[in-house]
Amino acid sequence: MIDSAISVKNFSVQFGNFTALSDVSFEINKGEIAIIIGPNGAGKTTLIKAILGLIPHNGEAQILGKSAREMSKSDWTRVGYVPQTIDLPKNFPFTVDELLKFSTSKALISEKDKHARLEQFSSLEHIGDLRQKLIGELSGGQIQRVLIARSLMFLPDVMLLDEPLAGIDMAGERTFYEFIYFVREKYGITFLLISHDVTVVSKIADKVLCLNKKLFCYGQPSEVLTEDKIKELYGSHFGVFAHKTCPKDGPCNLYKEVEK
Amino acid sequence: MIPSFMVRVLIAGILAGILSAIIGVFVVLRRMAFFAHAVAHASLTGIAIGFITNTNPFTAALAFGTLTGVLIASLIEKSKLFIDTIIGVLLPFTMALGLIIIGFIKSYKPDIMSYLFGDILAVSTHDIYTILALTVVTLAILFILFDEITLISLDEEWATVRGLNVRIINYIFYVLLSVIVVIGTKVVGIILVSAMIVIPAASSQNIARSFKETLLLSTIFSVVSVIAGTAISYFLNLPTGPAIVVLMSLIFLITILVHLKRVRT
Repeated sequence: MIDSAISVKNFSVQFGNFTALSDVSFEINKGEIAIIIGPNGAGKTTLIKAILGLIPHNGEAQILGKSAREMSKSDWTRVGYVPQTIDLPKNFPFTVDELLKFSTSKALISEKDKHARLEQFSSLEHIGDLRQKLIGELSGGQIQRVLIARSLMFLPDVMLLDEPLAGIDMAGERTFYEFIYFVREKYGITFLLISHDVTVVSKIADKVLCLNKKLFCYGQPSEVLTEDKIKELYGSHFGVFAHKTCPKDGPCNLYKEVEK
Repeated sequence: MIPSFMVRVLIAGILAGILSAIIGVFVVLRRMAFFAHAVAHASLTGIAIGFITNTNPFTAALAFGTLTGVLIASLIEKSKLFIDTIIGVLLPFTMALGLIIIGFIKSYKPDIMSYLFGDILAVSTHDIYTILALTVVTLAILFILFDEITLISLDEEWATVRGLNVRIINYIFYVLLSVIVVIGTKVVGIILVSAMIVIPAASSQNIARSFKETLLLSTIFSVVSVIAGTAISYFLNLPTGPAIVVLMSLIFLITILVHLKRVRT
């Protein structure tokens, strides 16, 4: 019985002479929510893509006990991926329904399950009224919701999300985190996601990974996410403050990025 | 009574029209409109090799055009260069090479103009059988791999994490595209074939409301242009390839006007 959902050991990514990631190691257990934080250019997207085998790397990365290279088509149905956005030519006539149809085409899930999950997650992600729209007509936040629903249609065991809150407003952020909690509780999905918002990490994440080319901190947020670590990660011009707009015990009352 | 050469012309034109209209939608989606241009120009070298080695020029064009298509695909994958830069290098090179080889032909000099601008009236029965066989094979592969090619054209990363062999399917796509381009050169010539690939797809993109509609409209625009263009060229004694391309361009103009009107309202 493997408890590890994602296991990364001595992981490095090099683009020519440029080191994007250096000697990163961590472990995410099944059912955990892990959040990667770090400044722009820290290698967060690179890490997610390299774990998925989309970028060449050195070292070892396994999802559910297998590396991307070893995974079969059926193994991939257990892995969900939500990119920052989808690179479709603007105004190309492709509807949301068509995107979902082709994205799940020939996948090893039955048509019945596909249909039931589409209805279920369309409603959960509020994309029902978007399904006949063209992708080019959607806002960044709407595209994110569609991409999340697309991944959930596989009901994966592990989901990797690359900045899922890009283009989503503050109200949408809270709804998103509630949604992540709900999905984790209901389906036991493991989440590894990137966030720029340090404020919510402590309440949401079981594990936090502070990344800036190498791993600055890794572990339970309450233990590792200190003010010193934040400053070390983002630079001394960042401070840690209570978030005034959040309820005292809400998910965003601990940290806020404020430029001094 | 339609003359027999006109029947051949229409069969070749309609088959090439259907193929180029379908593959053209993927070409537009993948933003690689000039790929067809490069393969078409490379086919001139194939034609020249055909003449100098006494093999069928069309078969030689198919072989050399496809080889160039695979070379471009390989350079897209392995070099750091953008696709337009790769094509900017290979297009003039293959064209120049073709012209030099033609210079070495001592016996019958091929009519360059007929290859550059097409001479659909010169399509032989043998050519028709070749085009028909290639159409069947190409359509069958496109049909079998339709979902995969669509998904990769749409979102290559997602296709990879679904376990598809993106690399192999991409190479198959480039080979299919190269074959279709060379078939198209028979109808409208080397210079105009990229129009046959791109214009119907671009026209349908202007007004379609879904991917399915884009494919359907692209095919209709292409086939209508081929039939009407061939008929007009026959009755008005005009060159067939240019007549087809002008009609396609007129349809594009109408669709872009419709699109602009929609945007304003």
